[in-house]
Amino acid sequence: MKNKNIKYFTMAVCLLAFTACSKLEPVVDPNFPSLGSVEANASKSQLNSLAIGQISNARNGLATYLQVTGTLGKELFNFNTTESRWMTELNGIRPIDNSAFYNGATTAFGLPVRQANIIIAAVDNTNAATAAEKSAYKGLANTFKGLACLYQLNVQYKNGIRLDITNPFKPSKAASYEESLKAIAGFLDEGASQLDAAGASFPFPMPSGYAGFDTPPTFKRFNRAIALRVAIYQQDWAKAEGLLAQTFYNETGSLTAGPLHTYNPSAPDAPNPLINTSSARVVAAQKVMDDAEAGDRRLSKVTVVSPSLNYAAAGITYSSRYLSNIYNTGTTPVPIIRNEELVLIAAEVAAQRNRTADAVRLINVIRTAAGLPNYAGATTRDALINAILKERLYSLWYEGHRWIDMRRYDKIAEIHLPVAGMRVLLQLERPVQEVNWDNANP
Amino acid sequence: MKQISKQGILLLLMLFLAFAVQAQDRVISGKVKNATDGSGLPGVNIVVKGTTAGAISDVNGEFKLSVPSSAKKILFSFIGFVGKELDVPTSGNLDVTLEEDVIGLEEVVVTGLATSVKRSNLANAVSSVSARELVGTTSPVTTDGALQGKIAGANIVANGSMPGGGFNMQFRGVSTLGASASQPLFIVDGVYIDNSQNSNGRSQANKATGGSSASAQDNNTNRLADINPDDIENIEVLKGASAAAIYGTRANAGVVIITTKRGKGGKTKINFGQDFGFSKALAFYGGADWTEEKLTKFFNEDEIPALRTARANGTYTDWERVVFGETGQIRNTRLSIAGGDEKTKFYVNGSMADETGIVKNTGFGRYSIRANLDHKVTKWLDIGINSNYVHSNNDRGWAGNDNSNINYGYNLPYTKPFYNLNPDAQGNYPNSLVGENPLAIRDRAINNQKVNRFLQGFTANFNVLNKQNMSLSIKATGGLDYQSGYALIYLPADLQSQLAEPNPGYAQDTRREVTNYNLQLAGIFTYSAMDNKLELTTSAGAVQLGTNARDAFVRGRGLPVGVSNPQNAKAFDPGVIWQRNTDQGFFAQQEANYDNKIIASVGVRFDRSTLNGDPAKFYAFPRGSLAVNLANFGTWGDGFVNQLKVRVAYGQTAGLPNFGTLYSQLGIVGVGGQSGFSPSTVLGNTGIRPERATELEYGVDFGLFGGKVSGEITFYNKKVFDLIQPFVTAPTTGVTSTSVNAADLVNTGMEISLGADIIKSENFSWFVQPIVWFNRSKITRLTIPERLTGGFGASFGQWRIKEGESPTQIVGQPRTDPTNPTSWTVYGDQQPKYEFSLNQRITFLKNFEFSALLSYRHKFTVVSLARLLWDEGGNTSDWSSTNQAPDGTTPNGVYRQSVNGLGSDGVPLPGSNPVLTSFLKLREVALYYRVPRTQLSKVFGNVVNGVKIGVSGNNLLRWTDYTAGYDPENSNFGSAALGSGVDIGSIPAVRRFMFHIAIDF
Repeated sequence: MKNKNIKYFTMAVCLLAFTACSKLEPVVDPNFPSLGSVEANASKSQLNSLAIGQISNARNGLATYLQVTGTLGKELFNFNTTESRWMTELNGIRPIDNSAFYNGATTAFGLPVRQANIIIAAVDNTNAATAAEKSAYKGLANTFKGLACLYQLNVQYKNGIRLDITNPFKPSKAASYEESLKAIAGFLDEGASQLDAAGASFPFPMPSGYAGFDTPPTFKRFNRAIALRVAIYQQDWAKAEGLLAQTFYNETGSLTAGPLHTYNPSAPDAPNPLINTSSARVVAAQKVMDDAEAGDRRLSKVTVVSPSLNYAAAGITYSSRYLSNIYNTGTTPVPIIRNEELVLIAAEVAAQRNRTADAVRLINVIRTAAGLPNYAGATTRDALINAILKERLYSLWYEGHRWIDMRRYDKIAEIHLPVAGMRVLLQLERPVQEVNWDNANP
Repeated sequence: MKQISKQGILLLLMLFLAFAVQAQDRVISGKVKNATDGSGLPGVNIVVKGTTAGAISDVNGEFKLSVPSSAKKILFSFIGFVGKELDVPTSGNLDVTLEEDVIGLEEVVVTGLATSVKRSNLANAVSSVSARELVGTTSPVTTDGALQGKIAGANIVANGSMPGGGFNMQFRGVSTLGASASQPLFIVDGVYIDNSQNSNGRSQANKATGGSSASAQDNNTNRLADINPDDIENIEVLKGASAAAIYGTRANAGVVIITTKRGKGGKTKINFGQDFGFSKALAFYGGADWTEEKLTKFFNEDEIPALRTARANGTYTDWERVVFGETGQIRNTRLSIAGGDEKTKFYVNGSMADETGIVKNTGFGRYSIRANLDHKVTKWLDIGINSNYVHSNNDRGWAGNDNSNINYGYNLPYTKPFYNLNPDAQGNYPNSLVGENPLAIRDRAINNQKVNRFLQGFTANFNVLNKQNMSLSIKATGGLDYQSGYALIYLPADLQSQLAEPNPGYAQDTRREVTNYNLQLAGIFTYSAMDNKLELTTSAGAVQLGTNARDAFVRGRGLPVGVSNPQNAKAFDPGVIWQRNTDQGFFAQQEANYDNKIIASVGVRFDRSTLNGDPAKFYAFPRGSLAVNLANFGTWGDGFVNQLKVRVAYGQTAGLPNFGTLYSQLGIVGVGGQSGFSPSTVLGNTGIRPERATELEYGVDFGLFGGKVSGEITFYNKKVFDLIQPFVTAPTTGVTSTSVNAADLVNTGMEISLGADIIKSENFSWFVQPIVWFNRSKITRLTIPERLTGGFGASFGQWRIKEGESPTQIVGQPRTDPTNPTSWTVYGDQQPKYEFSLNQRITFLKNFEFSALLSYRHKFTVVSLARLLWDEGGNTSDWSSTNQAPDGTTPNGVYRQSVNGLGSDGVPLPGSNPVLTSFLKLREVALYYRVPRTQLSKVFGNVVNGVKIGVSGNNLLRWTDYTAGYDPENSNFGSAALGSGVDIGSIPAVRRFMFHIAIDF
């Protein structure tokens, strides 16, 4: 008995020793590639994947941004049946909340900027691409970086934005509005010159939404169009005049020409986020569409519903019979910037530079396309600007411009407030995490 | 490696001590009697002290025992009775009388990984819950539900009232701020079991959350629900680090050790039990009247014709009472067989729990079969196996947060009574102005989750050495928890809410396969010295445990009408997530017991895990404890004090970082048919360390008047260090956070439990057991900026992580200083000021037993959006009253929507979303009648040994000042350290009534 006991016991001790000595290897992430894998010696296919990632996440935050800016400018409302804050807080009826979902209109644009920084660093830390290819990656990255920063700044306005986020643990402080605009112009300019050095084609196939903008020279026209937007925000009309020629601006061309965000509801792509759903319904402000001139073809952006859509919650009752009709399927593309905006910018630049006849002619390009008679109003600069702002309201409805247009011309007070107690906010609050960061890292 | 060689040497030393001596035996026989009625006690364990030689009394209480000549004492023990230690008689006969152990002094409590100690010698306040306490009154659906109000120091909150349960369990405050396991470790017969809440995509179907597949808003139950409470013999709760230290890195949130029933030998016992019952909503919330004036003034006058029509046709209907007004059916059946002989003992139990909810098409079913087998192979080898197969089937319905009008819990607050929702003769459901017809969801949408689960445990006990004054045994234990779950979410394409989608119809098929395994090998050496007055127990061993989980789902949108298989969808969103991790540990413990007077122990565990930043690094968890049984030093107060023990214990544990904390991932995104990389906005941290806790616990236990009154008073100070927090960066950097060890907190509290046999006589006895406890938490260090977490934003109330404040504090809008963006209004704490529960058991007329458990929770804060929904929808029962607004004319339902914050008196205004509340619930109540044996034998002869019938109820009565929703126990976000306890879109609390019959053969 004794021997047998000892035999079993020895076996048990061996088992114990075996268990104890088996080494514990680190578990490699079984689900996703690591960031570290592209930071040094990235392969060309990894760089291509990052570039596609950049184009994909250029769409981040779009729905929140367009619906928030649209609500702020009272060109549209989101009759959201499960979220009353679209109607209350964003319209000034309840205090704005710096930790609510709508802060995505600011924060969602951090990732595209970081993605651009990652691409630029990865390109600088690999030998897998030629000099021209490297310029192509960087030009693409800087273009989308400029665009994302501009969206962010539009919402934050006088709060300004952080311009250097290369090290996420040491971001720069928010620069002033003017400095931020200048820096955004700088990102775009850098991208443009990189695109100039990028040869005749991109090293990866551009998605179909960029048809006509899918080579470095043609993509640069898109880059310059965004730079043009920045220039008019800077009220640098001379610079704007110069930039116009470098964009895809075409007075006689299709007004819908321009690069598009494309969508597909199947993963890893995503469905169009702007379509109306069972709970989120974007309606045009009733008065905006009621005031439209008879026969304006741009009213096709909404469908007239009967009876009116009614919002009755949180102490607000408001109705509109105009339901957004621009996006109806999960694959409908969303324009990033269109020739129609460029024509209107051309008109605005002409008006600002007192080229009255040009301004009127360009306004009429838009009005003719909308099926309306020629402009017959006064031709003073202020009258022309007002006329252009009005055309912009209808031409660029639900494209994120009304609020910014009225703000840059200091006409916020002229925005119609359909419900007692509503106000137009000049800007959103800085998101709470941004405030906390600065408090902790003075 | 250093630790390993230490363990090896220790075990080898013990091996060298192993030498066996044979001795001469003689036979002793006798009878064990119950002191109360003198009847024979079957199943009493009789052991020769210092040996494993033993016997068990038979049906009549008689026994025969072979005793070595060297033996001096014989031990008698039986669950529920005070054990006895008697000298070996000179004659061959020994009759014994055992007293009932009212206060559980004799109960054996697991304290080490391989050793146990009598409760009377325990240095920790380990709460034990016996089968009688757990399910003896009524039949709660799940084990966690059955524990509510029965454990001092435990805050157990229901996440909702859908069948199948779902509970959040916190012992002695929170032990993590969310980045480690928030729920205790559950061990069933040595098997470390999975208690996660499986996601199934419901919160994507109703858009409660976007994107993420692992969503807390799926509102599923935690998988403890698979454990059949009927199988449980006993539950030990190691609440803090001092008691749980030997469990190392898995034990920060406490350890719950569940022991299932086992065969005791002797006559084969067959027990059959059947419950029938029903459940009803405890209270409704809506019911406001609708008038044309109300529509015109506050809503939409276009709806007036519909109101007129409904009034005229008599179709004006309170839809809340239609949907939530059903009667749930409860049916539980169980059949167990236990028995065996001296060598082999078995317990087999088949049980079926089946109930439907107060909403049509909701329900929970659990079909479980368990077989526990013990066998003595030889004198020196015992083996045991526990096998359990469970099939759970849960229809959870549609309650909670929602962004698409689908959940009826969210939709009904907006549904006006004059809407026509009833389907027509062809079964077509009319559209609702809310955006969805709640009856269509109830009748046609599917939210089903099924789990097949095997729990398999084994033990092998080698008695290597067995001498009178020393013994050495080697114990190998292990377990496997294999779970295969499948879930279906289905929204038919022709639902109103789906037709509004670009791709109508949603179906998701989710599979989850989880394997947890654990292995443990331990050596236990006992040695008696000083004439058997000093008992020394040394134990040491090694453990390894691991998890391997695979989750996969196919989500499809855009389905043909009537098709629920997602493969037929137009747009797909598949997901696969893998997880695996391994822990290894070593432990050693030394216990010393001097004559049951002074009991001391020290121990240490070393652990490493692949979940830590450095998987090779061992972390050490020391412990030590001391208990002094003052009453055993002499007779106190003429027998007035029969137990008086002071005790102190210290220990350390840890909580591991959640899987994935280490990784900086590149996510996969796609556009234009190509896929690409986009970094996760959360950065990994490869330097992450476990969250570590230390706890000092001390207290006094006493037994007075011959054990008629007993009590336990405990104080503790539990500190948790290196709490993992998201180091929140400025989100415009494209990084939202990374996990860092950034905070410490402290929990202090007191637990008092008393038990008293106020009256004890043959015809009437009254046992009262009050328990009161409280916990206070405070964050003592925070190296990151203060932050808000949980909930839906500061407008509605969130949890604030701030140094010097409680981590469970709830704050929100408005700011007290408009210029200071973090000057939030404080609305109290999610943890109650104190909890009190009162358990009573009255037996009368010999065979009747009445028991009741009252549970009171004093002043805690709930974040409620429920009232806001009802107010917005115009349906709150007091919507039209005008007693709240200062102007005396604004309806309450309108007024409340715009008043948040505290009034000048510091009391939250009527519209505040975080509300301070209290409740008293009659958790359990029952009346049983035991048919007298004499009656039974007249009718059934010896076939039937016992028949018990009774009625019981669960949550039958409730008193609360909570007016912001159905019930203050609700959690839209499931179980979590912080952020549970948000009431939105919930369904009414439920009361359950049951009729029971149990027959012993």
